[in-house]
Amino acid sequence: MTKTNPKRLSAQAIRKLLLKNAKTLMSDQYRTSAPELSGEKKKQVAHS
Amino acid sequence: MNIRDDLQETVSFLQTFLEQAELDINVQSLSDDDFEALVQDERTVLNWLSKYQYYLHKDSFHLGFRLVSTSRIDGAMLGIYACSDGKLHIFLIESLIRENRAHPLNGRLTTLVVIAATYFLSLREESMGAYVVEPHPDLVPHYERFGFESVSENHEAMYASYEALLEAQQRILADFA
Repeated sequence: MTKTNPKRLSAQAIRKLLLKNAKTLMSDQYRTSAPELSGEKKKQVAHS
Repeated sequence: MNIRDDLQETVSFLQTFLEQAELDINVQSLSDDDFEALVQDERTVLNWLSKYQYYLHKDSFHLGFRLVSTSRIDGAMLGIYACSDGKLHIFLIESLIRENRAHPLNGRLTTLVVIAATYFLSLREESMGAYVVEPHPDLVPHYERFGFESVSENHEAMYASYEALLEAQQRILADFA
């Protein structure tokens, strides 16, 4: 079922906004030094 | 438009975004060979194999990143979009070049996935927001910059409504205009 929200910006408007922010978002100010890992890790295999 | 079409539209947009930022990174949806490489690659620490069924799912949302000049995958993400509740569930995001600060993807993969999620949600009229499952604890403040909030005290997952994602982008635009 699809609901339409008339207040939403169009995809075209979002595209324009994100592209305006591209250089800022990819600059060192938004570059993280944290390990870029999100999600379930592999199980560790125990060696005896 | 089905999920696959919206995924390809998102890939196309993200490539334009990377070109706008003048980064020599290529993005594509994951291929079967890419997924196998992620499972086999000794550099991966996330459990890609356990999420294989999500890769095969008709509503799968996945991206692979590599240098324009190479074929080896350097970063990837996998999620599922649930049309029933309008939420994108991001299960895995992994950078394979975490130790290589000179690589243009280093430190930028998470942001690129957030951008992709934001744009993808804009294509879906019923969309409500996005979850990220088990973010690395040190990444939590980074997600918060884009509107995500932890849904539990131990940060097992974070959630951002579509509105919160947009507000974050509008704030960034205003701050750096």
